[in-house]
Amino acid sequence: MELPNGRRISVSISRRHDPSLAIRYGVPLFTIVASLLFAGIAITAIGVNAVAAYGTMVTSLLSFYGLSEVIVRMIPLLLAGLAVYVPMRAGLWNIGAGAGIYTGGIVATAVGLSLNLPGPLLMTVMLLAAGLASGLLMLIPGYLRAKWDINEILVTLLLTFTMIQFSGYAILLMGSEQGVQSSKTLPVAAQFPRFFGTRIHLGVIVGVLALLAVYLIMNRTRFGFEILNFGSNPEASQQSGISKYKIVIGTLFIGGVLSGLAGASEVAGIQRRLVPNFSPGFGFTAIAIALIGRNGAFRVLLASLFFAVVYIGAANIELLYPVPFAIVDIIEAVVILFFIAGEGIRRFEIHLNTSPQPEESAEVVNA
Amino acid sequence: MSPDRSTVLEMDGIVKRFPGVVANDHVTFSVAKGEIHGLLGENGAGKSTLMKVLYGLYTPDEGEIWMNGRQLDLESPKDAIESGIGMVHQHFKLIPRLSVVQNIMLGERKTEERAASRPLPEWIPFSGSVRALMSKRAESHEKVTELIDRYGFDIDPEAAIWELDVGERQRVEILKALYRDAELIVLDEPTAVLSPKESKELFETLRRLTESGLTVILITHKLEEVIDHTDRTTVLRDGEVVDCVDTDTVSKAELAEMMVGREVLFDIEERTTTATETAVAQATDLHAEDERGIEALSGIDLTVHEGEVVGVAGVSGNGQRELAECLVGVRNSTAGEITIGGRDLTNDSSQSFIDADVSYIPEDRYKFGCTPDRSLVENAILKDRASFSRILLDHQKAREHADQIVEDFDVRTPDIDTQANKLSGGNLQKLICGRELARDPDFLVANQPTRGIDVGAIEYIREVLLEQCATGTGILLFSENLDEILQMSDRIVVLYEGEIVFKTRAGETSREEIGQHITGATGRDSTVGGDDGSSTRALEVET
Amino acid sequence: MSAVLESILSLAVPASTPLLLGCMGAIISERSGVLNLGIEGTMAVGALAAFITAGMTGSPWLGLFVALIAGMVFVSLLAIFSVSLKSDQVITGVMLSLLGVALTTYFGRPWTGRSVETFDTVVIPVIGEALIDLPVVGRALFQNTPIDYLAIAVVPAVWYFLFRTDIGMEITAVGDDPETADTMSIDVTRTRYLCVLLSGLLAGAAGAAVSLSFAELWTANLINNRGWIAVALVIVAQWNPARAVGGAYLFGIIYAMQFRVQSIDFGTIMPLSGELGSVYNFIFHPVIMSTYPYVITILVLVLTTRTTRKELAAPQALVEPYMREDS
Repeated sequence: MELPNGRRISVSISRRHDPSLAIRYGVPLFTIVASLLFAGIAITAIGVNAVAAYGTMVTSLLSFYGLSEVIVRMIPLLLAGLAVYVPMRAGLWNIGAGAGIYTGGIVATAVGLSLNLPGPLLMTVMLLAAGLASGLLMLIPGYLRAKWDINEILVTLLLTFTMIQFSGYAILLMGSEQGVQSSKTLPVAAQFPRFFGTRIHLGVIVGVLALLAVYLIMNRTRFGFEILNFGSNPEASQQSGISKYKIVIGTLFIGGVLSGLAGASEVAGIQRRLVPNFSPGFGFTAIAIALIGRNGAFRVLLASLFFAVVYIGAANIELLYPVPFAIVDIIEAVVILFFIAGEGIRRFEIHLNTSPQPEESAEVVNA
Repeated sequence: MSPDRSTVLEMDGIVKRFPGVVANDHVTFSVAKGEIHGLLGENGAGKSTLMKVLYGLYTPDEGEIWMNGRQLDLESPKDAIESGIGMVHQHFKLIPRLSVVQNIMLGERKTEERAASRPLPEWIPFSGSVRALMSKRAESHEKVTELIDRYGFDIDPEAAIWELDVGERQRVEILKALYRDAELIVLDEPTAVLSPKESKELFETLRRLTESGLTVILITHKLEEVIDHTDRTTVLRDGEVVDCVDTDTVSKAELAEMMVGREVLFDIEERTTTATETAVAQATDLHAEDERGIEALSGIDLTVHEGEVVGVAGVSGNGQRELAECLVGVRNSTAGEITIGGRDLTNDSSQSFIDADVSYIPEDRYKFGCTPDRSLVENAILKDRASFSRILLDHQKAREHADQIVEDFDVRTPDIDTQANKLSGGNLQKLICGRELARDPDFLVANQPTRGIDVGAIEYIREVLLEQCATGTGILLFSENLDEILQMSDRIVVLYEGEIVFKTRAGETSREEIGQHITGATGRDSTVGGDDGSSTRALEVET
Repeated sequence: MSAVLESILSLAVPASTPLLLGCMGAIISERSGVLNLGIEGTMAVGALAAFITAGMTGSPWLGLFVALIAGMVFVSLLAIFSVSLKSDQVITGVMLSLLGVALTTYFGRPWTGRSVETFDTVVIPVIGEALIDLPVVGRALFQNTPIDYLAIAVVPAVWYFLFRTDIGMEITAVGDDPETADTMSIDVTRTRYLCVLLSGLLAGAAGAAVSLSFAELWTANLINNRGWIAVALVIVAQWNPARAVGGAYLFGIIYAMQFRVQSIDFGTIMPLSGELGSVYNFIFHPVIMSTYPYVITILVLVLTTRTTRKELAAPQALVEPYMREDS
């Protein structure tokens, strides 16, 4: 672009080497602050006092019940986040956490309604069946990717929508007599017990166990080693004997199992029956969680905790103020976008160049 | 120089320095109009740097460039193109989905000129923009067809690139230069990707071009081509011009000598060989294809014995990569057998080769040799993870192993938890060597192990390789560095265009002799006896 | 029977229009190498913008126009993130879709249930008037809203743009091999920005088609995954606008059938309805039918990946950010 005095200006972007401390810590801080600010503006825009709303959110979260609700919400998010996390470490995108969740929910309901077993045994079978079914489902994108390099982003995305729709059909098959949009209620034996008089259910143990399992697998086993190295450099890893099939199919299978467990927990722990849309948007939130937590299983935990807080906080605001529940999704999306923007700032710097330019320095040797 | 030919290009005293090396050292080089001028030299001699200077990609530290008597100031390829210089690269810059014409006219939207030459009727609003939307394909098609006919290119201008074979694609690249009114065309190793028949066609095309007044510079390392097709040749070695000769007046042997030099640069100590009669690795009639599906290995017979170093000399691109990868199980062969330690492992998985105690130092350490953002510990046990884990990983043992390697192989690093890509090239290579050698392999393939690293690391790596050999490991060493081959090998073979064209022992040959084989000087119509008395080259059959 | 077909086809056309428009946008973006997963959100933004404008000005055409602008503004976020910041296109797109739907749900609540000036169906003059009584296809072909016809008209325009202009050629080059394109002095950044903005424009139009033509109302989940189907449609269309038409109308027919099956039992008009009754009940169940677009897309994806030449399938540089390798 040319300026009136004849000089030219241009914008160029170059990779940043060694970001300063200010940038490294400033960015996450910026993310949170900016997101809250944005949400605050949105709240104010519809005529609600943002400060009061945030105040309510904080006080409600600090109550015993508030915290327990956060944990309730965290359970499926943690499991789903881990479901996206494991394949992500191998370099794969699992957009199918939603598919696994709904499949898990369907299978768990089916098992719970049809098998006549004592409580603990029934619940175990439900969980196993749900995990297995979703795991098997994920073999589809896994195999397609391993054998023919078919992009798993699209396949898992499409499967998610398919299973969400299919769950509606499953509800009809297992429908209750009243004609209400839900399946029959699960027998008491199939309902996850709740603790401390709150809604925290057995799923929390499932979640914690899953977290530990993922951590151990990734950091302590040969398989985890292979996953991490395959994700770093698939070509070098394969040359070292690591099997592409094992990694691709294996990680997506694990992702399926985890998301299946998430679905089963949600159905057996909270809903006690299969209803449409019982986990709205969890699959997408899981992607956000895995992105933030991509460097470690415990960070996934923190990320899922964060989103659970946002969710419950917004739910509480909605109870008292005429703020639509969609504010949750807004905050979630904005957080991720600011996060990504922050990443971009961390990785690149933008220059405004004006000419005439000084002589270019010697370039890198290409041998 | 013939008196009736004017000089079209003159590069005078070009100096180009990079950290640690002078790529062009006062290179003076001139080309006459209408000639095919060869630029001959080994890899690293400075040919590609010189041409990048000519093409505006590099600015020389000293020196001038003159074209048709005018001094050029080239700051970018665009300037070079506008001065009439066209470059045909080794890796084609073509979009397979688009047609020949489209590829040629890509990026050229001189809207204003076109609008001036064929104006639209007055009443069409925004005629400039409308013009921009209408394709100038018709006009380009005309010009391209005219060029095709004039030079006899035999290409369908509307064919999509993916439908064309390599030789045709190369001609499209030439057309790109001609379309932009190039007077001087530079071709960079053009026959590296062509079959003998396609090469013949290329040179016929080049002749036709020069007969019409264009000038051609041919960058190559193949003596055959220089002798057969160039008028004059400039030979570069180690960044300097050795000489510029009329090609008619020299022999292949003389050219080879100019390229690789006569003097023995290193004292080649008598290596006491530790080789035994036991073969650790053997390739029989091995055939393999490269990424494009073209045959890269045409019947290789090769044996490596316990305790010996077999050096494969030759310029990259003659099948080295394919041979190395086949022998370590990373690439599948299309025919032939590979035996490791007496067992037939042809086309088995890379894991089977690893289990058979085969180690591999790949050419590209970042792309194939390491997992860049993982720690040194993980990289150190990447291949042998089975030894450090049944199901669970023994971190302690792995760290000890990594510590050992770092110490034994002089890897300079703050600690073993550093990411692999934070190491300098030399240190990363030492780590990779360490990993591969610490396994105490029976057979090791090292592909260009000392390329692109610092002198200290180079010496170190050569040392440890020889030490390993002394313990009984059979080593197959690929190197473009002739001195390295001569210094380190017990036996030497030369790989040229997918075949082994020469076999000898280290003490029995000279730099010049190997140099001749590397460059194909002793090519098509001669056979050379190896140390076992057999002929290793047959007549090339041209279809 | 012909009444059944007619009711299906006449509903299929308006159902297909948003898919077609959204798909055109996605194709343009993807051909330049940028995967735009934000179409769903952009459509929502366009739909609400159109609805509000029509409500406030009384002109659906103005609503459409504002939707175009709104779509472009919204999608510019994706452009900045994906092209300039080289961020991950998948995450950015998904989050923008989420944001778009959420923002419109949030700010659109006051407009739920209101009615505004929408596009009326028109009969094509002359030919339409004459042929409107054709059995089965008469109404479907000749009596639709202007947006439906606009969508059809857009197809050859996009086709021409991509395949016959110089810019289209550059777009193809950028999508297949940005490095080569850069060498040939094509501005990769500018080309990609252009394509993403165009995709936003078309997605905005698609949204307007839903709120002002197809559904003629506003509610929270108006778009209802139509944007995602449009993205899936790109695969079925194999990045070719001409094929997108077939796919869009196929999916539109499936949707129409889902809708009509609630009042008509398809099983009865199919052969062997006695024996295969329960099979037909399953196949034509509206919920099951709603999975067909996704299942079909997966099948097409698998088939084409295995059979099409790599150079002729998806743009080779799709989803990869480009940066000149000198820094």
